[in-house]
Amino acid sequence: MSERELRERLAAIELPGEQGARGRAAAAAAAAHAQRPPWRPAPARRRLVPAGAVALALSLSAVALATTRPGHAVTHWIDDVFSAPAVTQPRDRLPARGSVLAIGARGPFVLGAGGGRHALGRYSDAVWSPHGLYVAAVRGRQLAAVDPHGAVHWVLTAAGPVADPRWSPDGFRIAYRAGARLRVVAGDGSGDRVAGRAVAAVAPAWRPGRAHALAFLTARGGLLLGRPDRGTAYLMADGLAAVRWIGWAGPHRLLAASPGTLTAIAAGVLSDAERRRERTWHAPSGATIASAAVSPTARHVALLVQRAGVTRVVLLGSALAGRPRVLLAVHGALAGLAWSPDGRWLVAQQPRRSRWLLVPTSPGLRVRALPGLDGRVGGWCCVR
Amino acid sequence: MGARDSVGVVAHATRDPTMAAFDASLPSVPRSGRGVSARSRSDAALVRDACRGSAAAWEALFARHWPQAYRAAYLVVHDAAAAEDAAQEAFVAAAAALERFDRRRPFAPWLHRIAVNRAIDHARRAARRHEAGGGVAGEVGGWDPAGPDDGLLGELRALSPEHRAVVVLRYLLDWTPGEIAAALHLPRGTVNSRLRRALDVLGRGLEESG
Repeated sequence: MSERELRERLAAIELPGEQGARGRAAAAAAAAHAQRPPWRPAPARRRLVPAGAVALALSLSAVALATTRPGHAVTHWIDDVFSAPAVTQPRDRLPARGSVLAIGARGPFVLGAGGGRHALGRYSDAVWSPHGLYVAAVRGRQLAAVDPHGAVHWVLTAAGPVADPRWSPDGFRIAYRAGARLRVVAGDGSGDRVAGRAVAAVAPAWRPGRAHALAFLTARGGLLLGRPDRGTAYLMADGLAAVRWIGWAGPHRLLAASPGTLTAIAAGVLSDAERRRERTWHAPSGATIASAAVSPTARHVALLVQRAGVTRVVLLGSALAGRPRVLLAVHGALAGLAWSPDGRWLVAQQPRRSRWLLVPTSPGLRVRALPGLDGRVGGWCCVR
Repeated sequence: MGARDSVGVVAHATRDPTMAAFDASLPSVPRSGRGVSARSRSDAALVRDACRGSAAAWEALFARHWPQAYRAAYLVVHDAAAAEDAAQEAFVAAAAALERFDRRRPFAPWLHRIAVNRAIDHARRAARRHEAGGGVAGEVGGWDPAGPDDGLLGELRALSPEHRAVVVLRYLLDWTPGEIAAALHLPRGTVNSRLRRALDVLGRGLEESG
């Protein structure tokens, strides 16, 4: 085969998955571009107005502003702009498409994009199905599938208290904890089976894709990747007894959060212990990671980091490389954390104020508040 | 009344020096009102505008270079999901490093170099999984035995990721052996020997398969 023929054949091979990959990558690339630092033009070489004159004018303006009542408000505004993200007046509408599922004192409810609410019943926890067609809800020893208007489709009763239901990416399986066991049931409520024993009180995480692969933690701190349909599982990593949250950032990287660290683990690497943990991000001394959520594109992970009575919303690249960005800092706690389906907003509950804060992840937008909402945010889904 | 009182937002960057180490203000992105014609503008001009915040220029660069980046990554790693990851990571890394890019140099080799190196990393990880895990780990590995059944693709799969990368850079992306050596941190003689061996294996395999 000649070199020319080789060139032609390499360029002509039909590749699988290119179009779908292109769409997903375009969104990720656009998001990465939008999150770059702002461009600053090179400083002008020639000043049209002497610097001293500008400083004098600004000083006079500041004095004039501060000595009048409207001026007083403006200086506050200027101070706020430079010291913390500004928050717009409360609104009653979500800034992006989709519906938010929240768990309030009276049970879960769904807040639609237009502001309408639907209560789902007396459940203690709930999560969206991948396309937002159903909600998996739990109370006591019961797991139920209900629609977003509260109609119950099926209920099963387990041997122990049910917690942490998680729907598989294709919607055909639900994993949940029942006591110390991990169980998996089909999306129609059939075929309930044990998928793991002596598991930790940490929600399992389905690996992206159609393979029904599920990561979960054992009580002894082992991280397993199981295939419940086949009854197989293998150890991805161990020594993770302090981990309180796991989530996939794409099919090849699992993130594990303990109170003080966030670790990226390469999926499936068995032979080299040093390479299992790709990278670890350490929260500053005394700070605690209270919640974590992976972005829809899997390129970023958002964290709630608490320290000394202040909670910060922190954005990290999912590879845990690069500098974290603090999107917002508030006094007191925030609860729950979820991405909007378009990846442009984060929502978290501010219990002390009985409201939700909507935090933009892209430049140019302001933090918004949704008042009168007591529920802990469970998920924001989906654009159908 | 300031927003701090009404909302409870604090001035974190000034009050907490430890946290300030990773605090940063939210940047704003300037918007370019001009339309971008992908066909009529050079990469250098698009990179310049993308640096200045033009989403349209960045989209044009993506549209122009995605196909080749994905193709190069796929031919190295032979797995659609891993190729997607590698090519996507290349664009994300490029977006983050646009300011540091020397616009006197061509954009495509810079991007392709990232994509190919990421693809080699993915392929090595997949190979480790495949070898170490036996039956169980093989189920979750990244290899895609059910991929397209092309004779050349099959013969490429028989090469190591490092050999495939050299072939892809030389014969798909038209890099010189010197450029390949610099990108992969290899002696030039190693590049040439890998090319020779790869061509031998590919030619022999294709002859045997008819």
